[in-house]
Amino acid sequence: MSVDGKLGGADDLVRALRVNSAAAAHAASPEIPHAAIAAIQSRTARKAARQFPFATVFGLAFALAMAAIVYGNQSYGPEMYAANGMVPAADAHAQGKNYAVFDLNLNVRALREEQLKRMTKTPELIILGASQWQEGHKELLRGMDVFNAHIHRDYWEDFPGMVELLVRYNRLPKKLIVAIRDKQFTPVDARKDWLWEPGIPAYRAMTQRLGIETESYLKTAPYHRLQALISLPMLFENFTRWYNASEHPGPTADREKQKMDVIMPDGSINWSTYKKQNVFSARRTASEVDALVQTALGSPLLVDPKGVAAYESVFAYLKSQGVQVYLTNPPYNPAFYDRIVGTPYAEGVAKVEALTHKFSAEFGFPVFGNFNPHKIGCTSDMYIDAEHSNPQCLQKIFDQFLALGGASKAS
Amino acid sequence: MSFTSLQFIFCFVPLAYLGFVLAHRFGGPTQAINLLATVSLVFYGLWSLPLLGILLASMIVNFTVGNVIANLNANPRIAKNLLAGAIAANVALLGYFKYSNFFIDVANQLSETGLEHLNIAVPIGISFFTFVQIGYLIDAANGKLLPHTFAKYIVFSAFFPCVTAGPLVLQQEMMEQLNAPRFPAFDARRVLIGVTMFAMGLCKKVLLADSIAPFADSVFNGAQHGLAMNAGTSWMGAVSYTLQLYFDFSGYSDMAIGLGTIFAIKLPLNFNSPLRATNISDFWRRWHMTMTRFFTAYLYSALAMAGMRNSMNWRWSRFGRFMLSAALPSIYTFLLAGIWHGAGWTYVIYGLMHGIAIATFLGWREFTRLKLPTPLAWLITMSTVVCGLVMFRAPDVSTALTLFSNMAGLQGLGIDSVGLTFDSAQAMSLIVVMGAIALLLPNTQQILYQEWPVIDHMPEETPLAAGLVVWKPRLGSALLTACVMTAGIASIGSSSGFLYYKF
Repeated sequence: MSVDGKLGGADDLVRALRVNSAAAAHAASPEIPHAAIAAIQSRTARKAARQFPFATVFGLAFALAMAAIVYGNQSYGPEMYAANGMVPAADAHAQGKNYAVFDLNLNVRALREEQLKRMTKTPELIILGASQWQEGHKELLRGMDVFNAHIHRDYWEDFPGMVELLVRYNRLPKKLIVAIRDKQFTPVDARKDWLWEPGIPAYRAMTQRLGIETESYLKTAPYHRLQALISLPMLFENFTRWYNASEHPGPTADREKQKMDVIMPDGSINWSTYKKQNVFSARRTASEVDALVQTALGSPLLVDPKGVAAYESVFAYLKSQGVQVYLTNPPYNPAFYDRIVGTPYAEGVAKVEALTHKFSAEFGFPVFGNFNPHKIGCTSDMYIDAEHSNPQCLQKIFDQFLALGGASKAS
Repeated sequence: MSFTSLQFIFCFVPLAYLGFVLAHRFGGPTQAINLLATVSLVFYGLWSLPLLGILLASMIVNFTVGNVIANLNANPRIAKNLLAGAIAANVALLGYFKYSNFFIDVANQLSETGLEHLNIAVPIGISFFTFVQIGYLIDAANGKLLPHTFAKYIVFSAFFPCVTAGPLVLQQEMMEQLNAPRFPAFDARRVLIGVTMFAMGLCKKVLLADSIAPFADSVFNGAQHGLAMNAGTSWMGAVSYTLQLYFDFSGYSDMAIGLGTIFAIKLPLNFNSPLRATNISDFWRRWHMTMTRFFTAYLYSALAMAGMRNSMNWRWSRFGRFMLSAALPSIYTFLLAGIWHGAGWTYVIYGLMHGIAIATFLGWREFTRLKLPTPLAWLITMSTVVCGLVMFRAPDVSTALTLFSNMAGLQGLGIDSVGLTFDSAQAMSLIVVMGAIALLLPNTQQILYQEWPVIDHMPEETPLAAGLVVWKPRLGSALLTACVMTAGIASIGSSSGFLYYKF
């Protein structure tokens, strides 16, 4: 409506933008008459008979494309994605050989199960913990018969899960080191990673064995693993890595390789020469520490009471089976630890440490190690990032274990 | 549960659709609509059960008040007062959840009161479902409501494809569909059209928006931490964010429309190639169209008419009439649209920038005969849009000002990646590709024009613009749709939520 012919601009806007019906967004554009739309729709309706072949072709093509991606990921990254991807590694370890891999992006929980399945005798000591223990070679424990069953991104349900595997394959040891890391009790729905997902079936089996509360299926379904399995960028990455590599994963007699990381039969790992010389620099460590400090300050630690209860049940079970458990907390890089002192994150760390000591008091399990690196004597140059130490620092921690009487009488 | 999660795509939607079809088969349209209402509440409850209570309470109150208002024909004064009270209550609810901490900050700055922030969980989509319901109340007062039950009201105000970030729907356009005598359930063709629309939206989000996001984040974070960036890098960062937001939000809107189509409900169009706009008014007719529609219908029109009437009564000069009937209503409307997006001075300034830009454009049209060449008009329009979005994205005004000064070349010209976590050359390639897609290729509704999956009328230029890529139910389209769907789902990766979820 034009109130004043001279005010064309304002009036135009009012007319153009005034919307009282669904058509108003296009009020300024000329429209096709409804009859024309009806004609178009009628023409297309005549082709309606084709809709079912169309749906079938769509469904088949979609399913095929998805299957191709899954197949590609399983073929070019079997260690992470194939159901039997860790079998060759476990076979090699059973024969006393090392196994070379591109990197540690692998289904380490499956590897542990395959290794335990093939063991012919129960080790004297088994270490359960996270990647902080990855360089914990048996030589650091004065030749004890050790199986380092550490797993990456270890969370609370991994402990019952790993104990389930030990029970299932009759490999409960006399001595068991149980490492509790800072994020151990993070509730399932607060996690940002997904490497824990493959460990859930073993966890469920143990909760059934013990008759304790189990985390819901909805929360623990392997959505993210499935997402990674059907990931196109992941396929691209797996394929280019495989295509460009001069060597591929397989058994090896070498303890260390130029470009590939090596998994040892005792469960520990050796980084590639390339990573040691070119990647793990002091500068990178500093930047990793910076990044982790930022993350830590923005996300206080959470403790899931369900996880604490699960630990108590499994500890009681282990005690009833005569297993001597040793508890430990892995030390941080001092460069990280000193920067979180006094923050809410440090309060969370103290809470986890207090829980460790509570378990110790409740079950009579000795404790060694400490989140505080100064108490262990680990220095910043012994770390590749904010929390992963090298064998030098691990030796100091294991020395504490040995001082507790952890070593066998024979050794 | 985000649209980009596998749980949503492979579990929630198929189960919801199965339930919808079965409910329709055994209970008819009424049960199908009841099922849609339930599914929508479950969807919202999966975000947060306590916040579902807020949504439900809001719906019950507004539904009741709306019906009372609609039935108060004999007492218009009471209806008017009730309407004012109900709108105030909705605005207060929105204000409490979204703006309390902002007002606390302002109070602290003004009087050093030292008040602490409230620990408030903001219900997702509160801006959207509150405004949809305010529109409902106004329509009730204007006698425009179509008959509806509470279940239909739930579908109208909280339909799961649009409850989190729109499109903002009108009561009439939803009820016309829900009240239709034949409300269809199983229709393979319609489902495939919806799936195609959804797949294209998903690709926009995960392949385009998420690809450019790290560069935009890197530039804005750099500016926030005082990183000196030269003009080229800063402009690239600002343009990257514009493209990210466009593909993110229009991708979300396409997915919402696709989901609506699957469930036999056509939703309104939200984007129509806005980056091709050659003036700022045109831009707002193409960008977040349902928000523009809401503010125009319920605010701008009333202000403009009142301004026109008063300026005529007061016999103001031509310029005075222009100010009162066009410029000031535009500024006021966009100021509120800016504030609607969130609590913070950046949103206030963003709204003002666009209000002033619209007023300037209207003044230019009103008082000059000069018509700019199209490329120049486009450049000016896009510069305004990009600068506005710098303010919109910046965490605070000082970061925006830092970036503006960098864009002005105060830290030097050229492009570099020093201090950034994303390579500038790669960002430039993405900008070129995404810019070409936005400017040269037909948009989603143009590709699907034969099926026209939205409730808006089809504009004349659409069939021509679609060209060769028009979607038809043929085997080639089936294969292409499957490829698009596969590419979208297989690229979800660690996709973050949609940008508009926070509004």
